[in-house]
Amino acid sequence: MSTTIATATSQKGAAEARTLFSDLKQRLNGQSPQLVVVFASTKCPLEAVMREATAVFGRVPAIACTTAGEFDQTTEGTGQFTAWVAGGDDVVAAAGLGKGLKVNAEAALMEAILDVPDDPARPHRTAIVLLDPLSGNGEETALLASTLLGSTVRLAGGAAGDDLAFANALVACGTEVANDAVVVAVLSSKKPLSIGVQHGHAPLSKPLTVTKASGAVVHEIDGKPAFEVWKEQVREAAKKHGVDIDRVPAADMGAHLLRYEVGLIAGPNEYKIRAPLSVGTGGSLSFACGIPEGAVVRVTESVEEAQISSARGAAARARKALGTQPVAGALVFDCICRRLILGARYHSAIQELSHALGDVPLAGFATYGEIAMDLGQSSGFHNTTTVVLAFPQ
Amino acid sequence: MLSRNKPELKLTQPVAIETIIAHMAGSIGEQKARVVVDEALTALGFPRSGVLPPESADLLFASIVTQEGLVGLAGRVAKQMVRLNMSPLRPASS
Repeated sequence: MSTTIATATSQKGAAEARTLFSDLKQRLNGQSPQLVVVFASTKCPLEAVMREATAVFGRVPAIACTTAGEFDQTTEGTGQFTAWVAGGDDVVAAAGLGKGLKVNAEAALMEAILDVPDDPARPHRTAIVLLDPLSGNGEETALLASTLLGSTVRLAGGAAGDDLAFANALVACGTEVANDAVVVAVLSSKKPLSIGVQHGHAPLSKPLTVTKASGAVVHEIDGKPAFEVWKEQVREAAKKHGVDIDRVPAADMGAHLLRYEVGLIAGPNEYKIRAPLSVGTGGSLSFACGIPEGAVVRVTESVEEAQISSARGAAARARKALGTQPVAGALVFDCICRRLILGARYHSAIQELSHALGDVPLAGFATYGEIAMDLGQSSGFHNTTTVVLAFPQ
Repeated sequence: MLSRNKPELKLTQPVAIETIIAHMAGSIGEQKARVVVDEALTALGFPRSGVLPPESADLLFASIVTQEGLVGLAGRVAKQMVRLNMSPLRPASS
């Protein structure tokens, strides 16, 4: 039996959710539902939407998070929710939620990761991870998940968004909804799923050294307040786009921080992008994961074409990694910066991504960070990246 | 199924110092990874370049993984990757 995937998007929130979920169940053509995934704007209260999902799908694992934009293969926008369901018996899932992510990520993960017995009929393992980026330990959580699950388990997922408020990002498992939390769904499958990853930023500044940092907060770069250094580096580039970075109100700075992110120099011409999420006291910058003192970074920027080609590239990689297996559908974790940079062209980027997968059902959301650890990768939290998790038929 | 239930396994193959740095660089940056590994090698009295025998690599990792926060975590994952003989993979950029 192959895997069937169905998706739908609604702008009417919980009011339409029961009908939408019932319709999705029908579209599985009699196959048993195995996993439900929901990506919801903060304008669609997550508790209410997940109550409807549970009413329709019962004990089928259902995971969700809030977003900064959501899409399926035909529709994209904000203020709505997108639902995705997989059916068949090639893939089975078990999901949990762990709280207290900021204080103890390992304990939160151990609460979220259910002890799933080995299944000889489904030997391939993939974990979908959704987390609250405002807990400030995205990379730490991805690395810990890898150590707890084992290096033979692929990871894919994203950091919840909150429509650019940077105040309250939620994750959910069943009807349990929380911030400062992590959700892990462990998928066991007959055939391996595939992950495609590609980012689209390039260095803008010279190398800079993080001279004072604590956890996810960078206080100083090259001995000066981090935010001041960031503004110095982006001022001219922002001016070319008609933005006077020194006059941007504090409440609007978030979108600009996400356009000019920080690249951790990981090797020759190799950057691990880190998104600054907010400006703190004393001109500090808070990130979604730790950046240690002594790290050397460059401020980066992206051009529009790179944002489109990187999304297409991630999808193409995921499809290619499935070999001759046709694609049943996909989940997409796509950095919010792409939506901000592309504006009205974002719809085209999603269309190109969908075409690259073969125009199959997909659901995705605009994230504050992406998670991808394929076999052999030793770092898992990304920014400005598109992560595509593809399911074979 | 979870690795938390499995005992820590020792390394059985020699490990290139550059491989350890490459595995850690994705999380903490190349420069920081070099400093961390270099300081640990110096403290242990090991050569600061080349290939370490498995027993020495185990001691190096034992030193690194006790460090706080992301540095210690990056060391844990790097050791896992090295033990499974996986080469460092990097996400592609446009």
